[in-house]
Amino acid sequence: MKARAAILAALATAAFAWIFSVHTAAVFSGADDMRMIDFIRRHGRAGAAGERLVERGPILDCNGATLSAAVPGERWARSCPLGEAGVHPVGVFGRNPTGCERVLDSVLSRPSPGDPSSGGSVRLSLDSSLQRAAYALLEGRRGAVVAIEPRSGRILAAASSPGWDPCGRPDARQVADGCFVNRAFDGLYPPGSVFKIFTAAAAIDRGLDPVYDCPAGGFSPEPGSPPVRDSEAAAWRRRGAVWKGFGRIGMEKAFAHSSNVYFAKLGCALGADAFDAAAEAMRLRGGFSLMERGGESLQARGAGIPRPHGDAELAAAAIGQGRLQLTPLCVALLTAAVACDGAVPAPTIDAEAPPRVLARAFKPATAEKVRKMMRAAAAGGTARGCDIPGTPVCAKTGTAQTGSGEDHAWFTCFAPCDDPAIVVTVLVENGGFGAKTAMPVARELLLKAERLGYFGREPRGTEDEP
Amino acid sequence: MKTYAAAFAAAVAAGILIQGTASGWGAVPGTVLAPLAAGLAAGAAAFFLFRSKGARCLSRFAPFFPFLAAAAAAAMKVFGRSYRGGVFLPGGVNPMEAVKPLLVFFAAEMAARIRESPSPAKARLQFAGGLAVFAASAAVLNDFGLMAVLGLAAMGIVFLDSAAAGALSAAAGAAGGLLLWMFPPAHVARRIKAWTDPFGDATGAGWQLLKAREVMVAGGVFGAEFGDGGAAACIPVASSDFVYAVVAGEWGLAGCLALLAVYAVFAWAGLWIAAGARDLRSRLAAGGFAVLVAVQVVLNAGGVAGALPMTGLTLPFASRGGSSLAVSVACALAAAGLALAPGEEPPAAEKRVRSGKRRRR
Repeated sequence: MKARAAILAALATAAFAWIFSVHTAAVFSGADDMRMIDFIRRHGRAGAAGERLVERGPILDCNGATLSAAVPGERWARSCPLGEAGVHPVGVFGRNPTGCERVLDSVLSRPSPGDPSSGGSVRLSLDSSLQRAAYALLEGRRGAVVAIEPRSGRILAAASSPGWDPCGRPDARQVADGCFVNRAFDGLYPPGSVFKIFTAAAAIDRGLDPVYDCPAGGFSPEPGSPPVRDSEAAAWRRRGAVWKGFGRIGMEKAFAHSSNVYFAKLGCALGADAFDAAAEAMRLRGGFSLMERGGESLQARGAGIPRPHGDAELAAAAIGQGRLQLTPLCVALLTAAVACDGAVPAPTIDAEAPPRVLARAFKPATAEKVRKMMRAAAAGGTARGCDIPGTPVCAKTGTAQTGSGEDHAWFTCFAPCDDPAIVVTVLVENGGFGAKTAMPVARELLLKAERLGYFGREPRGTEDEP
Repeated sequence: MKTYAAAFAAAVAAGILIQGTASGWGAVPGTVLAPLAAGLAAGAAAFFLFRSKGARCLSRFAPFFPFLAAAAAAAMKVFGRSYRGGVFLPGGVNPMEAVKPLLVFFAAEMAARIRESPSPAKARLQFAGGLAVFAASAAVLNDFGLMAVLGLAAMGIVFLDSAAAGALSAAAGAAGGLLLWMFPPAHVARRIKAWTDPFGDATGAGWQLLKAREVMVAGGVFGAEFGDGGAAACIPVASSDFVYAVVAGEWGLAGCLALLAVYAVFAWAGLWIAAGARDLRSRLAAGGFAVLVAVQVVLNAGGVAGALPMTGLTLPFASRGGSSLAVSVACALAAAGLALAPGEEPPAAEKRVRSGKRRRR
C-alpha cells in the first residue's frame, strides 16, 4: 500500500502545483487582460489594481507636451497639467474614465512594445498652450471655445467652461453650472446670426444674390406671423431713436451688418427643399467620431437642422433661430468650409489621423464670395475691431435669442483671410452681443495663435477627396 | 508521525493566522478557538479509541453510516436555514461536515469486507448502494461540491486498497463527472458558466470570483496593502470559502506557496503513516482522511484560483466554519490514532500456537 499511498500523495502534490501555476499566471497576466483592468477600474477598491505591473502611459499634445501622465508610486493618480482647462477633451481617469482617457484606455493601460513596464502613449492634436489660453479667456463664464486647423480638421483647442479639477471633485457652483457637459462638442445652442454663413452660401450656390428692401417695420414671412426685424430696431429704440431700416441692400451689406430682414427674405426665397439639401450637403447633422481606438470612439454631437415647414420657419432658420441647434464645433466646421473653398473638414482630435474631407458643401466660387463678405463684416461691419495687426481676419458675429434670459453671444472667424491657418469659434452663454462678449475672446486667442506661430506656417496635411 | 504532527500544527496555526486576518482578531475566540477546542477534544477521544482498538471497533456500525448521512441531509432539508451562502441548522451547526468521516469509515469497512469476503459481490453491492445513498444525500441539498469530495475520497480509499479497483472506480467517477458536465443541474450549470466566463455576468454570478482575482492580482508575489479591512474587505464572504484569495492578497504568491506546501506535507505524512498502520481497516481509514484533506484543498483553492469551478467547499483548518474546523481537527487526530492502532486479531488457531497451548488429544 505504500506505493499506492505515494502515488496518491504525488497526485495531490501535482494538483497543488497546477493550482499554483494557474494562480501565478493570473497574477502576471492581469496587466494584459483589459476585461480584468476594466472590472478593477469599475468595481475595485482603492489600493487594488490590475495595472500594478504597467505604469499607465501618457497623453501628449501636438507638440509632445504632457496632457495627462501617471504619477510615479500612485496607482490611480494622474497628473494633469492643464487642470480644469483640459478636463473635458482629455478626460478623467478613474473608475469611470471619460474623454480621451476612456477612448485610449486600451493603449494607455497595455504594456508598450518598447517598454513593457510602461503603457503606450498617444499624441492628440490639441495644443496645450492654446487650450489653456482659450479656457482662461472664458473667465469662468459658461461657454466654449473651439479652434481648428481648417484644412486638416485637427482640433487645436476645445475649451468648455466651467470645468473642474480632474484630480478632485467639482464644487457645488461648478455642478450647478453644468460642468460635466462638454459644451464645445455636445452643447446645442441656437446659432443666431453666425448661421447666416450657411444661408448666404446656400443661396449663392444656387445663383441667388438678390437685392431686398429691408424696412424698419421688418418682414412678416406669413400672414399674421410676427415680423422679423433687424436688431438695430431695438437698439435704436433703447437709445430713444427711431430705426429707419437698411432700405434696399444687397447680400454683402446685409451680411456685413447682419440684417435679419434681408436674410429672412433670402431664406424664404431659397425654399425648404434647397435649405434642406444644403444642410444635408454639409453633413453636420450626423455627429462626428473625433478619435477611435480599440473599438472605442470619442463622439461629438451633430447639428440639429430640421427641415423648415412654411415660410415662418424658413425665415427663422435663415437667421439662425427657430428650431436650429448647433454645437460650437459645428459652427467651427461651417466656418472652416468657407475657409477651405467649400470643403468641410472631418474633425479629429487624433494627431495621427490623416486629414479627411467630410463633405463638399458648396462651390469654391461660393466660398470665395462668402469669404469676402466675412472680410467686409470684420473690416467695417458688426465684427469690426477683430483684426489683429498685420493679419486680416474674416469673421461673423451672432447674438442668438434664447427665449428666456440674455442672448447667447457667438463669434466665429478664421485668419489669415487669404491663407486660412486657424478657425476660432466662441460661444458665451447668455453673454449678450456677440461683438461685445465673444469677439474679444476670439481676438485674444488669434493673437495667442500668432505668437505660437500658426500663421504663415507650411500648410498641414493634404485633403483627401471624400 | 513527527512530520505529520508538525504539519498538522502548522496547518492549524496557519488557519488561526488566516482567520485572524480575514475575520479580525476579535472574532478568533468564537469562530476559531472554540470549535478548535471542540475538535481537539473529540479528536483526542478518537485518537485514544482508535489507538487501542483500530477502525475495527466501528465495523458493526459502518454499514449504517449511509443512513446517518441521509438523516443528516433530511434534517438539513427540513430545519436548515440559509446564511451567507451556506445552509445551517439552528445554532450554526452543519451536520453534513460529519458525513465526511462517516464516508471514510464506511468506505474503509466496505473495501476491507470486499477483500476478506469469500463472495465479494454482496459486499460490492452494499458498497455501491451505500455510496449512492451518500451521493443522494448531497444531491438532495444541491451540494455537488460535497458529492465531489465524498466521491473522490471513496475513490482514493479504493485505490489505496487495490490499484485495479481504484482504476475502475476512477473510470466510473470520470463517467459520472462527464454526465454531470454534459447535463448539469441549474446550480452546477451556473457555477460552470461563472468559471468559464466570469466576465459574462461580472456583477452577478462572476462577482465573487472576479473580486477574488482582483485581490490575487493585486497581491502579486509578496502581498499588498489593502487599507481598512485588508484583502478580506474586498471580497464578499471572504472568510469562508475564499480564504485562499485572502492569503494571496495579504501574502502574495509566496504565502500561497507556503500554505500549499503545508498541505502537501500534511497529505504526504498522512498517507505515509496510514500506509504503516497494522490493520487493513485502519490503513484505509487513515489514508482516507488524508485524501479527504487533499481533495478539499484542491477543490477549494482550485476554484478560487480559477483552475476549477467553485464548489462551495471550505479550505481545511483555514476557512471560517465551526463545524468544518472541528471535524477537520478531529479527523486529523483520529487518523493519527488509526495509524498507531494494534494489528488485527489473529485467527484462534494462530493465537493458540503463539501462546503455546495445544489441543488435548
